[in-house]
Amino acid sequence: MPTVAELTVAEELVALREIAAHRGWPLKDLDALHFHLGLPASDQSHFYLLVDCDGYPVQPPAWHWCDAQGTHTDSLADRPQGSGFLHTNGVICAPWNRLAYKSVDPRGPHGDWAIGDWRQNSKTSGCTTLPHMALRTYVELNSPRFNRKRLG
Amino acid sequence: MENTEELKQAEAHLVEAEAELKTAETAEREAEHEVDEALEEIREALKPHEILLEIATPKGLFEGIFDEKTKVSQVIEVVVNKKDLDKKDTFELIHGEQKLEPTDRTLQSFGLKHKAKLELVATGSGV
Repeated sequence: MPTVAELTVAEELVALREIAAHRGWPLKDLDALHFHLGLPASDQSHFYLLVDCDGYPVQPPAWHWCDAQGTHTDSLADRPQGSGFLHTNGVICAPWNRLAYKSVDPRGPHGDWAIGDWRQNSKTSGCTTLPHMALRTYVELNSPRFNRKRLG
Repeated sequence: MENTEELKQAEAHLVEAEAELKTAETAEREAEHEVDEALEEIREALKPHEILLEIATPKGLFEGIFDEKTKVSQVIEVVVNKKDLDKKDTFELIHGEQKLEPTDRTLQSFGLKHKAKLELVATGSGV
């Protein structure tokens, strides 16, 4: 019997798959709760994310910057350098990213956010589905807030 | 004993469901191919003042032809309605590095012509 998280991910990935196919973004399902996504940035390079949807949508997914193969998530060279959303700690700073919470990840910039309220957080601002989160990340990687460098 | 029988039935249903899923995926690929062909025909038939917009939205792709004098706010309204996006949210259209604001400006005024790829995202969803 599939879990709520598995059903939600399967449903939301339909839209993301459609966008990825048309835009040429590499998207690979790893299992029912994990996928690997590549996004082109304004410096003509690609950034990659390993997305862990365990417990979603009760808690937000974890968006890990990773390498092109999705084998490791600990390299600074895989993380974009920028401001705001592209936090200097090397995590996506948004309530819809589990890694932004200090209670989950010590790099998380926010000790002031409650993870259970991620959908109600005003900074989430409608960004409550996986395709929306991916689109926002793509937009940020192509915005002036990305300074076309990597953290390492 | 009863449990074993139920398990066998469940497994049979799972096999059936997987076969149906594969058939559906094949049909989906064929349909996508037909849509691509139709869009290519549309692109070739575009009038000089028309713009074909391919917009990535939180609910998948939207494709439509707009007059170049259409305001950005009108495009957003059409897409939000067609894709059944939450009207409580405020959306913004992005073209590359450029946010198409103010939204009372026309597509043409942002230099868009013929066809363009845009993204529609909720305003303020990037911290």
